[in-house]
Formats: sequence, C-alpha cells, structure tokens
Amino acid sequence: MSHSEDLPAGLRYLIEHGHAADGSHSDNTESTQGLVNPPHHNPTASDSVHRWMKQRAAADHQMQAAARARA
Amino acid sequence: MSGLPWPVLRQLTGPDHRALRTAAKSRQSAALQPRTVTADRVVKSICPYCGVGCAQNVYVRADKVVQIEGDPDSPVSRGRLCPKGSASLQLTTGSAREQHVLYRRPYGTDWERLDLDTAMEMIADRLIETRRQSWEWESDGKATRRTLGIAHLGGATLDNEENYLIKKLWTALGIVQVENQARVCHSSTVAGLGTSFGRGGSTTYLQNLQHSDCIVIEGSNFAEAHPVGFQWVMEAKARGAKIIHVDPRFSRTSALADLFVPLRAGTDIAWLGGLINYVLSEEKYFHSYVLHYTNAATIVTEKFRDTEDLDGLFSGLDPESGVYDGDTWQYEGAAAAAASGERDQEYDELTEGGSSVAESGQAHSHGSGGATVRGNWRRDETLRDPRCVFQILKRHYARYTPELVEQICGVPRQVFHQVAEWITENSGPERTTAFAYAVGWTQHTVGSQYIRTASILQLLLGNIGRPGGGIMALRGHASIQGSSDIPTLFDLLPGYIPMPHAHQHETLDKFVEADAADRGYWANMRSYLVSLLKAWWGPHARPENDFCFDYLPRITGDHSTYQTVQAQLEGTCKGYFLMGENPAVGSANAKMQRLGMANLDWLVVRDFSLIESATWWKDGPEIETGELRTADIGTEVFFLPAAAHTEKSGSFTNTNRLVQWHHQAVSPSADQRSDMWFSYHLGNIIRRKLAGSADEADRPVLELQWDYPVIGAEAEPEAEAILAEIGGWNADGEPLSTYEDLKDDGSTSCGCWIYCSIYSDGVNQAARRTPHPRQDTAATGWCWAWPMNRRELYNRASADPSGKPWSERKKYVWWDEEQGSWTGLDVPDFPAGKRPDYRPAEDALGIDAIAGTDPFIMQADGRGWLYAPAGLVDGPLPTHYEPQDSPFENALYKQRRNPVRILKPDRHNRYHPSGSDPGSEVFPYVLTTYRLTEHFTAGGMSRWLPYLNELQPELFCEVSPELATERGLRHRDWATLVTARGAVEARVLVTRRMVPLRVQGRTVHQIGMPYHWGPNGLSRGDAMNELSAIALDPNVHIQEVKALTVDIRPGRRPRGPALVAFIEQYQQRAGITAQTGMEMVTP
Repeated sequence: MSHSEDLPAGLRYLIEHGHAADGSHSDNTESTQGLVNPPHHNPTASDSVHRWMKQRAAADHQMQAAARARA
Repeated sequence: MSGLPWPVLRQLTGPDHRALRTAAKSRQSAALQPRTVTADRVVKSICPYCGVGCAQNVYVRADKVVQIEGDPDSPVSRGRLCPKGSASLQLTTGSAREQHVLYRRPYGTDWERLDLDTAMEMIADRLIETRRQSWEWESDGKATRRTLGIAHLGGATLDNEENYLIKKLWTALGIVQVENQARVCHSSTVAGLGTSFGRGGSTTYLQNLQHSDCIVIEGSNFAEAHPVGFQWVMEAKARGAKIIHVDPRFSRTSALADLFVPLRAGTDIAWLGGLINYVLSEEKYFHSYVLHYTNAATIVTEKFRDTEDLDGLFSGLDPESGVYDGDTWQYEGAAAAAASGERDQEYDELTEGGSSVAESGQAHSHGSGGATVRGNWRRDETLRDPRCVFQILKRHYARYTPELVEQICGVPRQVFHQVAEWITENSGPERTTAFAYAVGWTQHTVGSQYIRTASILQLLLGNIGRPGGGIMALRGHASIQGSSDIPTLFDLLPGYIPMPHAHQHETLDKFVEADAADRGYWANMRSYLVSLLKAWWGPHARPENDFCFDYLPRITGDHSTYQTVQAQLEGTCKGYFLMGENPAVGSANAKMQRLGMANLDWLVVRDFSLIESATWWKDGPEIETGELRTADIGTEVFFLPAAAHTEKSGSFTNTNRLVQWHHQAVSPSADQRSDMWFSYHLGNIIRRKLAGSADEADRPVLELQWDYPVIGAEAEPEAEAILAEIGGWNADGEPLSTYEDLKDDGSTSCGCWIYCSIYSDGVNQAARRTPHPRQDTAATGWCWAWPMNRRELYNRASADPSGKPWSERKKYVWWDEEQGSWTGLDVPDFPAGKRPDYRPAEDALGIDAIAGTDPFIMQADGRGWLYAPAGLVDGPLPTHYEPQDSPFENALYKQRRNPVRILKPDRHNRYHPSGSDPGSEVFPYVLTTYRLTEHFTAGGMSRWLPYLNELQPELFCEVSPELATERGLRHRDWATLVTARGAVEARVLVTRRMVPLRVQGRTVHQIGMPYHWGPNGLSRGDAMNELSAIALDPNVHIQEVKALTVDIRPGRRPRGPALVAFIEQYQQRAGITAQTGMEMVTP
C-alpha cells in the first residue's frame, strides 16, 4: 500500500491500523461512547405505531376484500 | 492541578516543565467541566445542514439541550462535525430564534403579535377562500381539479415525514404548485442520472470513495462544502489514489488534490466530451463492460440526425413550438411511448404541439424508473454498425479534441492529457475511478446533460456499480434527496411517479399506459401507484373509482417555482407557503421573487428567524429604491417560528440515499412547532371547516387518511407512524419487507414505494445504529438506504457477465453458485436468485425480461444508457452549448445555446448580449458562485449564528491580480458587480486562486462570489441573486447561476432610486431590449 507523503502521520496510522495512534479507540470492536457519555436514547420501534397500523388496515374493507380474493 | 497559584511556579516545580498541560491551566479553566459531563441523557440525532448527514449526539440536562457533538459511531462521519454542524447548538438554542407568531396585516407598517391558534384559524380561512375563488375543474376541456391560486416552496431542510404530509395535504386540496430547494439545486441530477442508469440518486456512497484509485472532483468544492464527507477522499489519497480537482476557482479542495485544473465556467460538457473522445479514439474503454452492460451495441433508427449533421441541433426540432419530437431518437424497432404515440390533432392543439408535456418535468420522473422504451430492438455485438450507439457516440464526440477543449475551456492540452491518462490508467478490471460533483454541474441551462456526460464517461470506463467507482452527487441540504424521493415537487408523486398530466393521463389505465415501462421494475408502476392511493385515501380508494386516481389534481405544463413567480406577478397565484426556504435571497433573480410576493394576497413563512422572505415588505431592497412602498403593499404576512431538528423526531435522507432518523430531544418552546405539526393541524382545521361540504372539490381532502396518533403536550403527530405509512403494510397491518410485494388490487398500502421495507419487521430501520467499527465499508447495519438498504447501486456490475468479480481487488457483489444467489459486501441490487446465465424469453415482461447480465434493473433494456433514446427533452447526447449569457461564440457549432432552454422574458429579467453581439463587451467577465464552509444556502440557518459570522463576516468577491489591475480593484476595498438585472457590492479579495484563462485567443477573467448574504441577520450584505437571471434547463427547470456575465468596478453601488437608474444605464449601454438573448435557434 502506498501513501502520499503529505498526509499527517496520525491519519496514516489510523488508516493503516484502523484505530488512532493515541489509543483513544483501544477497543475497536465496540462503541467507545459508553466510557464518557450518559446513557443514550435510540428507540427503534413503537407499540402504539404497530397498533395504529393494524387499525388502519382493518378499517379498510376494500383492502381486506382484495387480500381475501388474492388468497 | 497543583495548588501553587502562579503558572510559572507550577511549571518550574511540577512535572509539566514545558507548560503544555496542567502548569498552564488557569484557576477558572480548572473549575470548568465539559457540558457533556453534566448531561443526564444523550439523544441520537443527525446534523440538519448539508447532505453528508453527520450523526450527532445531543446532550440533554433537565429537558434543555446543553451540547451537541459528533457521534463517533457513524460510518459516514465517524464523530466529526464541520463548523456548521458544530454550531448547531447555537442554531437550536441561540437567542436569534423567534419564539412567537408574528403578523403583518395588509398595508401594515410593522409586525403585530398573534396567538398561534388564531393564526392557524386565519391561515386555514385564507387557504379555503383562495382555493374556492381560484378553483379550476378543467382547462381546455380536460379535467384538472386544482387551484393555481396557492403555491408552496420548501422541504429540503425538512424531514421526510414532513414532506410527506405536506405533499399529501396539498395534493388533496388540489394545490399543484408545490416546490422545494431540490428544484433549484439537484433536479438535473435526477434527470441526468435517472435517464442514464434508471435511478436519479447518487450511484455510490461516501465511504466507498476510500476504495477509489482516482477521484475527479468537478463542479464541487468538496473539501469546503461537504467537509466531513471529504475525509473519504483523503482516505483514498492516503491509499495512493490520484485526486483531480476541476473548477473555475482554486479552493481547499484544489490544495489537497494532486492536480488542479482551472476551466472556464459553463464549459464542462466540452471538457468531459474531450475525455470521452480520448477514451474512444485511444480505445481505452472497458470493452467487456461496455458491450455487456451498456446500450453501445443497440441500433438507432435511421431517421436520427446528430448535432454534427445539423450544426448543433438534433433531428426532430419543431421551430414553432420550440420542442423536440423524440421519435427520431428511438432505437430501431422500438415503439414510441404511448404519450407521443397517441398524439393526434386534438392532443397537439391542447398541448401546443407537445410543449406543455415537455415542460411538465417528465425527465424528473426518472428518479427511480428509466424512460419508457417499448418494442424489440436490434443489437450489433461487433459495435461496427454505423447506426449502433457506439459508432454514433464516436462520431458525436470526434471533434472534441484536446485542441478544441483548450479553445473552449481554456485548459492546456498537456493538462488535459494528464487527466485523461490518470482516469484511464485507473479504470478497468483492477482499478476504479469515481466522479464527485455538486451544483457546479447542475445549475446550468444544460444541467441535466452535464450529468449525462459524466455518466457516459463512467460507463465507458466501466466504473458504475463497482467499489471505488460511481458518480457521487453531493447534495447540499440535510434531506434534499428525501424531498425529491418523497417530493414536495410539482411534477412528482412519491417514488418518482409522475404527477398526472391533464391531456395525457385521464384515467389510471391511460396513466400506466403512458408512463410505465413493460420491462424492468418500472413495469410494476401500477402497483406502486395504487398502493400510494391506498395510503392516501384508504377505504375510499377502490377499483370501481380507479382507486381515487381522479382525486389527483392535473398539471398542464410548467408549474415550477420560477413559473410560480410569474403566476404571482400575473396575479393568478395569491397565496404562498414558505417552509424553510428563502427565495428573496436564494432563488435566481431575487428581485422578481420579492415583486411576486408583493403581489400576493397572503404569505405564510415558517422559519427560525426573520429571513428576508418574511420582511421584504418592510426593509427589502425595493423599499430602499422606492420601487415599493410598505403602505402600498397589500400582502398579509404570517410568520410562524419553526421547531429545530432537536425538537422533533423524523428522518433525513442524505446525499447517498441513506435515510437516518433523528429523535426528539426536547420539546419546542412557545409557538415554535415542527412543519409536521403545522401540516397536520392545519389539515385538521381545514377538514373541520369543510366538514359536511357537498362540494365535490372537497371530497379528496375530506376522505383523506389523516388520523395519525399524536404525542406530547403539543399534540405532535407521531413521526414513526408517518414513516410506517411511507414504508407500507398489507391487509393484516403488517409492515412490508419489499416493494416486490406491492399489488395493484388495493391489498397493499405504501406511501412511497422506493422506501418500502423501511419499517420492515415493525422496526424503524432508519433508526438502527450499529457502530461502524463493527461493520464493513457498506455498514448496512447503520440506518437504511433506498432501495432495500442497498448502498452501492447497480452493484451487479461489480461482477463480470458470468457472475465472478472482475478482479479480486475489486470484488464487491458476486454470484454464489452453491447458495444459488447473489452475495457479497453489500445488499445485491439485483433479484437475489436470478442466475447470471438467465436469458428472458422474447415475449417476457416486467422483471422477467431482465437478463442475468443486466445490472440496470430500472431500465427497460437493463442497460446503462450511453445514448438516451428517450427521457430528456434536449437531446439523446450531451452537446456543448454556451451559457445563456456568455462572452464567447460556440466554437463547435453555429448553434450558440441550448435551443430548447426555458426563458422567462420580463422587464426585470433581461438577458445579456453574448459572443460577438454588440454590447457584449459591457459585461466582459464570467461570474461563478459558490458555498462557504461557514454558511448555508440563503443564510437562514447561518447568518443569525455568532459563531459562524465571526468566521465569515462579510460578502466578498474573488478576483485575480490581473483583473484587479485591469479594473482598478484594491484588496479589501469595495467593488460593485453589475448585470442587466441588478448590482451588488462586495469586499474585494485579490487572489491568485482566480486564474485568468486563454479562450479563443483572448484572456477571460472569472470572478468568484458566495451567495449566502442578504440584508438581514448578524452579518449583512447584498444577495448575489440580485445579479442572476431566470434561464432554465428545459428538462427540470433548474436555473443557470454558475456561469453568468458581469461587469465589475471599484467602489460601492448607488443607493436609493439611483440604483435603478444605474442598472438602466447599463442596459442602455449594452443595447439590451426585450429580444436580447431570446433567440432559440441561432440564425
């Protein structure tokens, strides 16, 4: 692998090794944020949305009929 | 920290002898602690500025945002934020944000306070009244079911869910003039990439640039306009890639490139055409890729005549209507699409010879479905037939020699050869070259063809669908891609389904007949549309009423944002919604934007601060010149403060189609609300006011599915429910997992078919956040990309026809014989089980007609299009034309400019004499415009932030030392730039970054100028768009603002009425009349 000489050494090290030379990403397989951050908030699903979807579909009688006809 | 009080004592007695750490720390500093430490939670978010989509951690303490930092888990940004992203704490929590509704009554001289509920009721009343007064059931005897009395602008800075609600509500109300920043930034990208490859989005993704062996950045200042994304270019450079920057102006991108190529603004087609000619004449193309994956071998009808035959025109131009009839561009054996095939006398009369259809933005609809071509065409696998695409291409570009490139672009031949060698050496089975561009390519009267030229070059080099290859369209707004996909655009429905045309799409069947292909995935368009109609009208959409297809208002030509301005000036458009967009500064010919608004009955502005589009009636430039008087302006203005990205949940779609969710961190204050809240509650108020109406016009909005769950004290609609509607469900209310499951019988619902599966398994796929260190380059566990979470489009092309990688070094997606499926480092963009040796039957339809060797599955022939037999209105091949205003003649043809460009004649929109025309010497310099790292588009999200304005406090223009000498300009003094439209003043920056070029035997000077300023905010200045004209690309109505002609002189501009006289004097000197620059075909 060739490198351009004008890149900072730190960036070159990061690219070659996959982690920073200063050891700030010492465990490269896990998020490092747990070390410094309070708990994060990232929900990916909502029960109320699931219920609402089912209600919307159930209220659409043409949709139900089309699905039955297809079956 | 040591207890010693004096730093010098600590330095001498402690371990920090060089005073680099604790010894230098003051007592105050020692007492400080990071804001992050005091937070009680972190909320995952996405930066609201440009299209890179950097992930953010929003730190919250006691329901207040206390800090915003980059999220290290993101595979896109890896924790970094640029100056704008870093300033987003100030954007969201700063004191410049308006808290309350403001109201300007007709003829009023100042703002008044109004409570939010009253304002919402008043806005609903205005809308209902204007709609009633301007309702139009038909036009020229064809049903239109619409109002042209109301228009909307804005959406690229909004969430997908907001755009979805806006488009849904406005469409149900019959409002067709719905537009956003995507029109004026990247609409030509959609047309150019879409007709070439079948989809209008970036073919690759930012992280994939690290695998490039050569990157050409052209029409973009990547390092400054998309700084965090630029890290992937630097990664490639560190791995040995060659970086080339082609641009009129030297910038930080140039400084980091291996080669900077200055060229004359507005000449990129000649430059790229020269490279195409080099590749063809030197036989440097990737033969197997070209033969198997492009339409190089397809035979074109003998009726076709090229620009080489007709001195700059293609065959089929009707000089009366100014429209090309594309019949002569077709493949031999291909039937013309139904839209033109059905043409009869009545059709021609109603559409003015087809011009209203040509103007209706059909090219924009190829964002996810190629142009319609039907029939059986012939191929010559030897590529020798004189009528095969390959030979036509060779002839078309044969005169684009290095000498001609030098003559047109001002690029020396040796520099041309250097670039040609680097891109060809770095393309082929073992190596790949990528192109990256931004609005330097898109904003021209031939913008769509700019993108086409790069597409042709990349197809010839075999660089599409492969790691490190592709074309990276760099988008400048957080969700400008999303606002095209889920469009607040007049010519599109969600998923790039075209808005129906009154004279073309009278029934659902006619619509499908006209626009759906019969091969490839676009053949399933009926299922996509019916599922959309089910999402909007639910049980009311039934087979017996064409699934409410009639509820869709019809377009009859151009209803784009610039046409809207004309309609405002003419008095037909009376009400205007602006949501997160500032046309009084950011749109071409800013004066006409303001004059249009001054002729409205009412205007609703939703933004963070009092942008120029909200205050023009009080303190706009026309007030100063006396052209308008506040007390004479009847426009009623409502200003409603908007919620920030931290105050609402929703998704942005970044520059490479990646849909990323941001969560609400805190509630908005006072009257601040999301655009989702505004649209939803306005819809409810309108429905309440119209309840019980027997008027047939009201039925679509009353039957609209508008029952979203709400959360919080403000009754915010639940964004995830809207996302779920967009993603689609079946009759059991279960989320869909693929658009292949969509049906045309009403048994499925899906608000945007290309986003189908974004809620698969009941999971908000756009909110997934697997940290990048745990993933490969594609990082498919981070959020979700359309379509179907595929990151590199057309990646079937990364394998050879037999399904094996072209090389070990460039392996990406390949056929696994044992598994009987495609596999690899990304989600395959191909039917998973379709074998490479699959060949369709002759009468096969739909996806069955796509062979196992056809990577471009959205194209009717499965091929990348070197030649576009359909889809664009200005030609099947890109051809060099001069910009609307140019100091030069076209060195290639008699035909100067794009013969079918769109012009808007108006006394405030005069064009310049060009080339050898008398008077052209009055405007001898080329002006090009650009973005700064520290500012954002028309300034609404940057000119009110102290951090950013300290960094970039003033409008300036960049000129070369030679031009400074020629015009007596002094560094840091003032200069005035003048066009026939206006004059602006700016500080002079004399710099060698601007290089004078030799073009056609003489020197041409170019001037660079950012476009962010306006009269309001913390740093104030003239708006660059006072200078620009409305001259548009005919495919998508994007304006030409990257190559203008101007004059420049030292000193400040005149004030007051003297400014108007100053412009008039310039017009007189140049002999400008209403006819100047208006000729379409050069006599």
